[in-house]
Amino acid sequence: MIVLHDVSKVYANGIHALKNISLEVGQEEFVFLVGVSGAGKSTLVRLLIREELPTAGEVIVAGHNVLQLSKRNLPLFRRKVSMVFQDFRLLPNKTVAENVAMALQVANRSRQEIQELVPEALELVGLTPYAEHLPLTLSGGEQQRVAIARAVIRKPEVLIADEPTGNLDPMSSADIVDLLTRINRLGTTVIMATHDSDVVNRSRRRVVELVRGEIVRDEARGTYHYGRL
Amino acid sequence: MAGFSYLATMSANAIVNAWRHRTMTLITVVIVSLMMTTLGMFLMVENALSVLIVSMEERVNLIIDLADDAPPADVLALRQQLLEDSRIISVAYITPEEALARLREYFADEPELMQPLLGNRNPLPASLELRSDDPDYLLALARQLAVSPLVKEVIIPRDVVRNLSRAIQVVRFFGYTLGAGLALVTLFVIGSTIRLTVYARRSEIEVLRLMGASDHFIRWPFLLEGVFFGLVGAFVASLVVGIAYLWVNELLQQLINFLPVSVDSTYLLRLVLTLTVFGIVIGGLGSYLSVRRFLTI
Ligand SMILES: Nc1ncnc2c1ncn2[C@@H]1O[C@H](COP(=O)(O)OP(=O)(O)OP(=O)(O)O)[C@@H](O)[C@H]1O
Ligand SMILES: [Mg+2]
Repeated sequence: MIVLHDVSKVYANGIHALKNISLEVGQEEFVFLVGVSGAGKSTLVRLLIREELPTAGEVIVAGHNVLQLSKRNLPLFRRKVSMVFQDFRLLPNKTVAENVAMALQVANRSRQEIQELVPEALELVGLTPYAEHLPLTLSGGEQQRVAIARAVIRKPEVLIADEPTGNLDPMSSADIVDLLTRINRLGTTVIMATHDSDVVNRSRRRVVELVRGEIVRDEARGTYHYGRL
Repeated sequence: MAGFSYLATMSANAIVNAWRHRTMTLITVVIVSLMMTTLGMFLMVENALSVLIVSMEERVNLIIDLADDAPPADVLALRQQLLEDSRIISVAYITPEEALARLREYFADEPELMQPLLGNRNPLPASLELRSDDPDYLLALARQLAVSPLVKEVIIPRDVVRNLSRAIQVVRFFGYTLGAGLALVTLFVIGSTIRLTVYARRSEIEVLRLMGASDHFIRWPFLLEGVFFGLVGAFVASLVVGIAYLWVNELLQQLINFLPVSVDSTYLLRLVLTLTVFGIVIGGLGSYLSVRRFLTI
């Protein structure tokens, strides 16, 4: 599902954020991407959704070589690969249901489909009673669940989460990871960048650790201790 | 269908947006309305002058008063000869009765001026009225006809038409220059406002982009917002210019009431339509250019 081959990223300011990264992730996998601040997690994530282009190497996600994506195909690619952020990034003037529906609207899906799928997605994340609420009236954990509902409503092939629990308390964080695990079981590849060691250690999933832009560890049932090395 | 709900959502967005930045919206609306009103006013003045000039052109260029004792057969022959002349646009035969009727209409407001004329006999002669767009030829013709025994007198009305023609050319020139200038300013004002909106919504745009929204999807609301400004401007301009038009129209009617000219009653409708189309085009174009420059997708 995801193949990185000898990928490097040098930013315009000369910072070498990723160095010769090679990585393969299968369709059914759930991968934690860990590392201290500045290790290059977000950079890697941005390459996966083609927000940034690699300086060298190949990035293949959901069957697309991101370097070869045309401007026209980029939106189509992004509809297959959903993103969840630390700061939720919900549209503040739209209700929870409208926020979730937006993911289908940008894909020009029919009103019928939208009316069918939105309640399903809200059900999945346990927010059915909040459909008509505005995001800012919800707790952080709830807002992140809205963001996840929005991300999964299109049944993406890959779900990429960049520190989705970064702003949440441990309880909510655990909820979010459980939710992502369920989504993974439904057939979506999940990549979660985090430095939350509790979450990683509880899950016992594949762990890929970055240090200064290099992969130093890749364990099938890994753990993580922040700051260790 | 997705299309409709989408369009409805986008229109709602545009309005919500406009409301959220209401000071900016207000300034834009005022400026756009001013521009379009000025433009509308110019169009109206140009039209009024056109109507005037047409009415003047419809006016005869040469009047040949016929001698009272001219034999009808000879008059007919003369008329025929003039009709066959390719440099003459039209020839009208006016009977004394028609001439009197016209005069009556002309003095409808002051019938007492007619009194001395209204003896028991109609003093007006029959006449031929000629139109031509070649004034020099008309002059030559006048000189030639003046000596004919059929003709009592040749009257050459002062040539206002030429002066008016020149006036309208000047008005048009300034009008087009002004119009182009105003269109540019309007374009710029709408563009700047849209740019601010784009800036205010940049994080939202970013989210939509990452969700896989197409360029169209992201640009549409901004285009609609621009069109909305154009439409509001057109509406205000139509209102102001419409009222002014009714007033000018009355003035114009008085000015040319004795002439066989009908003031076009559909003009106002066409003016409103022109302004509306102009508003849509300028608004859409202004935001399109702005979005193209400042909304990098
Ligand atoms: N847009 C950018 N331009 C230039 N340098 C950047 C940019 N984004 C990140 N960097 C640099 O690249 C390196 C890796 O940053 P990155 O954001 O990928 O780290 P991270 O692992 O996500 O850190 P955190 O845990 O704090 O989010 C850092 O040194 C950072 O300063
Ligand atoms: Mg990061």
